[in-house]
Amino acid sequence: MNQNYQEFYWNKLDNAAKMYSAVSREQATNVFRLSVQLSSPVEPDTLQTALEQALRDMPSFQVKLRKGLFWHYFETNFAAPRVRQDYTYPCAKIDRNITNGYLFRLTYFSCHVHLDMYHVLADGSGALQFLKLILAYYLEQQHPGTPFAQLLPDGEWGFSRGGQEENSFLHYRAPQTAPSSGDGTGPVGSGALGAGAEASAPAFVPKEQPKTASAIPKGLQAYRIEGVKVLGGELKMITGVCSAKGLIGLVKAAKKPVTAYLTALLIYSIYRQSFQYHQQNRPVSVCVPVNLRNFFPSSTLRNFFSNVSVTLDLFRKNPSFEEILEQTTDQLAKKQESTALEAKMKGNAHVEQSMLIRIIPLFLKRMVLGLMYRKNDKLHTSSLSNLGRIVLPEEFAPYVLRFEAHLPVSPRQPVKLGVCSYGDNMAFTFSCALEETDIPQFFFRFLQQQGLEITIGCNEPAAADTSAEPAKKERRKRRKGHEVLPQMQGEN
Amino acid sequence: MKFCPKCKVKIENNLEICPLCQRPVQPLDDVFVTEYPSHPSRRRLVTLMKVIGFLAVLLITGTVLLSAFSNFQWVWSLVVIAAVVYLGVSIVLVVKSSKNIGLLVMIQALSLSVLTFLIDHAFGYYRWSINYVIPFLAIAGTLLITLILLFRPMALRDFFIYLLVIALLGGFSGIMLLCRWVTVAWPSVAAALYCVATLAGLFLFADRRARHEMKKRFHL
Ligand SMILES: [Zn+2]
Repeated sequence: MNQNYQEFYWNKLDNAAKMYSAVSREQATNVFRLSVQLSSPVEPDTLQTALEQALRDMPSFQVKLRKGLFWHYFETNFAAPRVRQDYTYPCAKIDRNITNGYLFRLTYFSCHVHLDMYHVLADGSGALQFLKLILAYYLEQQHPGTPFAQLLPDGEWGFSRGGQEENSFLHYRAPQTAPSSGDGTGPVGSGALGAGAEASAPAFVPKEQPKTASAIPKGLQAYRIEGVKVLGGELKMITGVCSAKGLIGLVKAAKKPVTAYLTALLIYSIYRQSFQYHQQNRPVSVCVPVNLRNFFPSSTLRNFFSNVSVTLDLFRKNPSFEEILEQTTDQLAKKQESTALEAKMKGNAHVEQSMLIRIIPLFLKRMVLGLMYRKNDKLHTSSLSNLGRIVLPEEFAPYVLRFEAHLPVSPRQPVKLGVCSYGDNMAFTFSCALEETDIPQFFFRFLQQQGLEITIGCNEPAAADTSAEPAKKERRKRRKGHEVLPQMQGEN
Repeated sequence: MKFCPKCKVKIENNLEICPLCQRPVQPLDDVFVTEYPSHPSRRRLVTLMKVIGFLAVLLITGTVLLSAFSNFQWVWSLVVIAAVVYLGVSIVLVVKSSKNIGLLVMIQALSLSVLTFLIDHAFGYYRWSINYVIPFLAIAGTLLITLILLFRPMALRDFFIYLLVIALLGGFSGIMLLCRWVTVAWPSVAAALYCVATLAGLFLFADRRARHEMKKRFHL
């Protein structure tokens, strides 16, 4: 785009982004990570060029966040993007002094490329399209002759900028007949990574509160997983990889949708490892973001998802996995009917349009929205985000091995699960802000007992480094070096 | 790869204990995956803000106690408190907004105005703050940002809002003159005139950018 366009370009935030921009802080970063494993070690310079090319094609990521009197807004970022070796914890707050104002962080480590995306800018589906494009340009330079970027389906990025940045929440809230995918077996949550905040807090509109199967009062606090917190700013990641075919076989045998099966297993793990020993009269509630692009013909790269919650009352019951699976499937199917989603969106978009909310100055809005975010956070025990099956043209297959989705935790939801599959690799990534690992342990042992072969990866330092004294010194040195770049909010 | 006999899972990192059950693992082969840096940097627990807050609490408590137990006048401790708050805020802002001079200039102009007014008020209110200091700050701040803009017109995006606020400070001087709070006229006249000139110039000569900035910053 030409200079004039870039200089005068600006855009408002979408509904969900407004919430995220107001409430994000170190304890609830709202930064998620998409991680991809390549077949060979990453070349930083090639990746840098690929990023620049991808930004040229998807200018909606070449923005910075500014403060207005009433709302934040996006404007063109003229600074150069920076590719770095991974230097911090996954999903850590984006330090805009380090990223040159960009709202994402593209890093690499040995064979892995990590894209940490601030949820203000995009949801899982949007970020995935961006990552695919970066990969395509990366491979194009490494293997000249194959036009990787051309091979990506056009629909993935060939839209106008208006289409890429559409606030689809507003666009599709009107009663409009959507393609019928309300059979419950629809593409549950394949794409949305909406962990934590609702598109706009449902606290605004109590009528839209999820109704639960066992008649739990509206807006009741959900059961909270307790434990010893990890050190501030750290996050434990535990990834388990299994065969996608194996898992599908397992789910088919149970005759249930994949997301319902996994959600049920997560609830069952929470029940068996935590709830059953700290019985409280509180429901176990798991938040499942649904990609609304599957229900509405939107091609936006910005946020477009809706949170659906599965709430089960397990107090003084002794449920089997099958019972939980049955109830979970029911609730997901009901709440995913397009009429239910539309009604919810209508309520949320209505909030954004309300004059009362709009005329509150930004700094007060942050307080109000922060309160609502915390209240909303208490409604869920955990979140599960399923990006679904990631498809790349077959030319990519020899070079791209595995995708992972990492979710940020929030104060009331210290354990979350991100799922995605690519080829025959299905990756489950637990983000834990607790030292205890009982829940992932139960989850993976359960799958193992069903006959799946599980491979675990985690971000614990490798054995060679843990005991060595020089490592500690090195860390101190690194930290000192890091102070050159102050870890602050950024300009504006 | 390693293998945990208890969990019956493979582990792709070179670990001694299983990340799921914390029990020792068995080696399988020598192929390992490293996905994460072994010593990632994390948020600093002791931040500059906390250090400054700590020092400020000490200083203010000390001053208040001293003035209570000696012949110190209470005004003095108020002045010290105002100065400490000003210094603390300034240091934090210098570090935080190192990339945006406009914000720095604006905050300094505003907080120095308030600080000098308080000091003036505490010591008999001779009006030197509103007579001289505030008009001077408005002129200096506006001039500084205007000069930067002359060399970097593109930076209007970054500086517009701050220029507007400092110029309003000059306008405020003019209002104080009209209300007869100010006893020496010429600095306030100069400040008001200079700020009106800047704003008029901004909206007449850089009208498209200025209007665009207004639209962005105040969109509902
Ligand atoms: Zn184990």
